[in-house]
Amino acid sequence: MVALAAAGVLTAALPAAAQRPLASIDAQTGVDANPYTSDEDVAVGEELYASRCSVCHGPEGRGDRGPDLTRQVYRHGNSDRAIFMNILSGIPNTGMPSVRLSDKEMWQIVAYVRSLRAPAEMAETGDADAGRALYARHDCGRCHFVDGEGGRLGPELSTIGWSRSPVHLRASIVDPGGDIEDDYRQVRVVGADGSPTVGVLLNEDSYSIQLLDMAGRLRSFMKSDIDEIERPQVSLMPSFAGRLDDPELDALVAYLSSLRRR
Amino acid sequence: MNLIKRSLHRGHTFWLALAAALGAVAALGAQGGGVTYEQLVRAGDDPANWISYHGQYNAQRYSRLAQIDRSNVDRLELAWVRQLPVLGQVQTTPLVVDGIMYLTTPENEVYAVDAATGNVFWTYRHDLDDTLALCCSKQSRGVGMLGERLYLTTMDAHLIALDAATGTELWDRKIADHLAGYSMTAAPLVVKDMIVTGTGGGEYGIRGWVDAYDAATGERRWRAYTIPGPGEPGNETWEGDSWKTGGASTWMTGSYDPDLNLIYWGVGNPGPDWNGETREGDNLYSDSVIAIDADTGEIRWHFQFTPHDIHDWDACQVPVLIDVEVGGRVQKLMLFANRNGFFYVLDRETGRFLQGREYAVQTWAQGLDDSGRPIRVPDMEPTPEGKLVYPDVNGASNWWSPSYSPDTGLFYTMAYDGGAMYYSAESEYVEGQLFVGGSHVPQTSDDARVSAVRAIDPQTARVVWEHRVQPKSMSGVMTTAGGLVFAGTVTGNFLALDAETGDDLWHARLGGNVIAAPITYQVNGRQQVTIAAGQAIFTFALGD
Repeated sequence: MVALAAAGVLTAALPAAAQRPLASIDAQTGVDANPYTSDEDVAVGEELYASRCSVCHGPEGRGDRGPDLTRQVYRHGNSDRAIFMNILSGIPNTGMPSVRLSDKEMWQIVAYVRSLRAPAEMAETGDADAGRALYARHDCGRCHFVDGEGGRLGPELSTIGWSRSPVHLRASIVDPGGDIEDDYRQVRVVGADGSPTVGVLLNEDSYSIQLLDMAGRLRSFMKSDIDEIERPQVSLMPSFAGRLDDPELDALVAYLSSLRRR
Repeated sequence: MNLIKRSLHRGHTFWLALAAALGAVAALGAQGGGVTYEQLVRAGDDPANWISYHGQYNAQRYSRLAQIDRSNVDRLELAWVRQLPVLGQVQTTPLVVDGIMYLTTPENEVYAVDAATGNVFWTYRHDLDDTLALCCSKQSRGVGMLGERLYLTTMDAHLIALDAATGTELWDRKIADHLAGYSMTAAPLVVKDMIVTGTGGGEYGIRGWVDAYDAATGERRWRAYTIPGPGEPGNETWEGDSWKTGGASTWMTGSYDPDLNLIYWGVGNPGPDWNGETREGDNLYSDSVIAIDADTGEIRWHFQFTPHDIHDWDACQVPVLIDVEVGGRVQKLMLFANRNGFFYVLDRETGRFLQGREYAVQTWAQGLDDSGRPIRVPDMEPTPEGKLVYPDVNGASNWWSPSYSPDTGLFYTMAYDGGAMYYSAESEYVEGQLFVGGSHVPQTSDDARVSAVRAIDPQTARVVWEHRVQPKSMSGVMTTAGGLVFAGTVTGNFLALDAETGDDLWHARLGGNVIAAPITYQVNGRQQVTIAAGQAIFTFALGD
């Protein structure tokens, strides 16, 4: 027998939805289609969207830090139920949090999101192959990781085409410091002997600080052992403004948008 | 504490920062590093780290660290607690490598935390399938590590490689059909450049196996089926087609002898569990330990503890490997405290039975014959009306890691004396559905149950001492060169015993079930002991 439960009792596998800790009543009963799709529901959903979703997905759903919701295919499921569950439970290993609303309100958001979908995917204007070459030429893989290869300091880009809009990608290339994710803040720790360690801040409390250093190693320091902590408010990524012309930027954005590993 | 200055350095460019960082030789703080196969082979020489599930390939779960010893263990104090936001029981054995601790949660999450403070470096969560076929509860007992990669197996039958510094997923391989009952809850075993894993599913009519995968790519190198197919020796021990759905799962982490190049793995119960009428025969290699050639996957030998099991006493305990000198010759032994109530000593080169004796209350066998085969008491099979038999379904022991101390020469295991009413029933195989053929009801109320840490002398197979714990325990044990045995209880006590005598030297109340095994390691020159309890990780060190 596998994995004895604390009570030592053999228990049957739970129904699918019941295993999600946050599963709602509707989700557990297996509602697949949205029961709230009237114009009024869409209008309520739009209001809820504006207050709860637009900060990442953009005011009209065209994406910003979060994915473009007007596209035809979603990475984490296209059905009403899949969208509902992603709102309800969040999506692991992404920035998508669990949103605690009533079932009806979540369905109304689903109705609004559905109304956003464009009739066809917008085509990228850049040359993705040329963008791939630019990515290699500028050694982006020194810090970024794509499909099993690359560095550790920057965000992984294997799925960046799913999660970031082209507008946001372009802005991040020319002004990396404009929107630094919390997980990639730069920190510089100076030891009592004056030796500095630069890296990405991972965790900090009153007594200690944890970071990923420039060599890609996890480091932890007790504050009683260090002399100074500096927090440069700049990205570790250099700006490419002026280093890439417009067609090159279009190409690089097209390449990054094409990174959509499932 | 020094004043922490906070300053802005807008003028710093990336390249200047990079140059400064690369030029600095930091003398402070924990540093994550990798694990080589050579380190795994010699893990006992490096007690500052705990680099695999069992600590060492021999699965002795013994540490040479002795900063904490019998004279000062009563000064152990809480160093830190890491609460984990999960619903299930945390059963992880963490790894600790160069001050970084890697642990798992029952939701197939992986955490990298600072072993000095418990603060989190990163977390990873596998997106588990909504539909799982699990006999018991959601669980994940640990990861394996090779190089700078961690390896996780999941309850929906994936094998996943992660970058140990960032938690980035490097690859994800689906290795079996979880809807047909295959699932993984154990930490994989790293052998050479391979990741070795078994599977759960003994209650779902699977055909069990042990697999090895290329650590770099995730491609399968070999598969050792734990039920022989037609034409293979042992297939005749299954009636008709019963071998196809006979279970024989492999859900705990095995051990390994690099010199003999043999991987040792405990094999689970035959299915259906409590009704053997449709699977007459010994049902090899269920309830056995098998020795697998690490390069080819060939099963070199097997020893079956419970032929034709009808009580779910699978042999997914941990095979402990020791070398003892007898008459000037080093004997390579395996010690095995089986769920069926008997303790066994085997020659691990050949699988030959050397001796065995009961170490817990059992009523189903009169003893073992010269080959180690049980001499059964008649009429102890489950019936539709119920049959009282000892041990109960949890077993005299289970997956709870045992330990061996070379200092005392004793083997330590958590043991449990209890019986159950076993019921048989008809059972028809349907893919993905429970296939157990009956049920069981424990005959002792939870609060009246008594477990004991038992110390067994491998030379005689006799229990030398016991330390009883109430109401019961399902924890693993660990021994140290400080002359200590650490263990826990389901009521949340974590305790340290004198390894020579079993005397109770120290305990802490953790307020949550201890259903895990302890580890010890050193951070910044300080020995620490870590145990999972409830939904948290507790770490202790000597007070100042």
